[in-house]
Amino acid sequence: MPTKIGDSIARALRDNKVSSAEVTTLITEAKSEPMTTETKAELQTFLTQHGDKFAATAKVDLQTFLGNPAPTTTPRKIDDPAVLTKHATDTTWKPVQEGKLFVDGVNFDDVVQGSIANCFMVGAFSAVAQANPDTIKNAFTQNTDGTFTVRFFEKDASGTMKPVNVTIDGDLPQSSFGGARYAKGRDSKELWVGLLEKAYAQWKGGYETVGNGGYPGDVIAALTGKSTSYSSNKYTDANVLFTNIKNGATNHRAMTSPTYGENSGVDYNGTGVHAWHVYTVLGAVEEGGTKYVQLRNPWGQSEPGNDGKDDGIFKMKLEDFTKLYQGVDIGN
Amino acid sequence: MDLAQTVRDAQPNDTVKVPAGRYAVNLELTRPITLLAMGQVVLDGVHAGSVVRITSKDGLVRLSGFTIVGGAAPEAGGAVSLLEGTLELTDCTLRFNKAPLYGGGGLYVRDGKATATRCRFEANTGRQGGAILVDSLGVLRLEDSTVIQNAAVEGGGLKVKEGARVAIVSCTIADNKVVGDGSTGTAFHLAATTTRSPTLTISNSIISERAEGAACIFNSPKHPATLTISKSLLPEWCNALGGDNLFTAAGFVMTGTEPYLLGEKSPAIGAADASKITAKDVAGRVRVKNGKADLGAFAFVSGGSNTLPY
Repeated sequence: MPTKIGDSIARALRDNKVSSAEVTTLITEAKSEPMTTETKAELQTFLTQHGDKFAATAKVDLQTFLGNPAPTTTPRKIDDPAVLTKHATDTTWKPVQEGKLFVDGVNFDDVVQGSIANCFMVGAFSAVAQANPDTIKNAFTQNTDGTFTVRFFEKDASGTMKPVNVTIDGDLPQSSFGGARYAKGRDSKELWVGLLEKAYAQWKGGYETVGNGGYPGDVIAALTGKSTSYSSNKYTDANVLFTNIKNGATNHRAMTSPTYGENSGVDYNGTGVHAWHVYTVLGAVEEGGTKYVQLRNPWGQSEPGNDGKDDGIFKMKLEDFTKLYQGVDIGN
Repeated sequence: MDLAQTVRDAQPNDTVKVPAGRYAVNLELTRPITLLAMGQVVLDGVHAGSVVRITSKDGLVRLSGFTIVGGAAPEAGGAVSLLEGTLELTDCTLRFNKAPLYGGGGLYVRDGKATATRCRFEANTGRQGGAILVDSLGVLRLEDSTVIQNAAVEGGGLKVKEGARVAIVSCTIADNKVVGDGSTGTAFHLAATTTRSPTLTISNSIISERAEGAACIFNSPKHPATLTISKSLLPEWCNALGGDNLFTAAGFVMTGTEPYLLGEKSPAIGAADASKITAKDVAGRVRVKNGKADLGAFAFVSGGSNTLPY
């Protein structure tokens, strides 16, 4: 007699492809009651016999659930990108124990900046994750040897965006205190944020190269294959700006916004907003006749106001946004 | 004149003559335009963004005769930020601008093509490229210009990265510095990626920095750029470069209002390839005399700097 999990496996195999969503359903189903030896055996057989039909992340998810995760690292075949000079003596490379590439998919709030000046970069990661999580997911390939290949894009000499594949191992830099040295997932077991940053650093020449500031539009373009358009808040009508952001969110465009400098004449004291910083723009809403811009600090904390949780996510009146932020970069 | 409004109202390829004066502006140039300074014109960014930000995809933007100060870029290009399109910058002074979040305190060139002729980049700061950052597929020709006393973490004078291409001709690069963790390359910081490599060619120029080796000219050993220096005057420690370069002190006068003028005994005098020299130096003086020309941005003048207005 077919078991309940057996029926679900059969459904998953109908199109001869096993997606992440189907594996998530299977795992949820298996977790809904104490797992029997038979259920585990069926899932193991499913994985063994049909492993070639699994999406990369689906395979890893099921392997992890069954207690035989794919190796997250290999013997050091790939040199890790150099860390910042000041971190060279107190940084170690190691895999995150029980780490998973994605935990509950990709979410803009997964992203937390580390001790490196790359708000432009992680702010853009979060923006792309917000606009189109699949862009992040599809950028990763988990290889059978435990390494990861991350696909970026860059312009060639003719101006055409071409894919660039960067392969890294699963080690991530840890500080002497034991935590992630640089960007990390909100869930410390979620790897994509740290691995994406590592792959980008590997590509560009090291963490020092990407830890000295940068242009968020370049990072968005590297992930999406499409350039961005910047509009200055100073010279854009506020209502047009609001509409642009709202449309950007509706049309799944990644958006970021830089603040002014400390000596710019803009007073950040008491605003909860930081000078010389790049924020992710999440969208725009109108509530009770008042227009707001929704933002996120890539630190994953530190925000204006008090909405009950300090997660870096907040909304700000449009008029305040135009005063405190220089402009908006919107993905094309 | 409301310069910002005038620029917004301008039609493509218009020429705007800007009367003498000081203008507090952060201009957005979205279409081809020529801005001419009529007399002493200072564009002051008042630390509220790039002074001039160019996103004109087609056509040419020309800026001539301006002193550009007080720029503080949100990301890059404190004085002038060229994201795409073509820019001609002539007879401009870019001074006291900054881009601490990314770089190019004076000028940032990303996917555009720029020429800067008879320009002075002085005392600008940026995280990468105190005076100039050329990034992505940007192209820059810097000619008859000075890059003096700028500062950055990487590349006090210039940072050239990604697939950028830069040519420096008849310029004086002097006394720039780097500060901060991991700082290097007072004159230049060159860095390729795993997929593309920048090029920097230098000719008929003077490089005079206090730092030596990679602290002065940093070319990433892991991902190096293509660096070619010819017919130029360089510090003695560069002598392994060989070729037709001179390896000695520049012999600047180091007094008065133009301290980087050539002193009477400077080996740069008459050492340039006169066939490749333009008509005027950074101060507008004739360059080629009796078939000879001098290295660097300044043509030699007898009597030193105190006779010259600054």
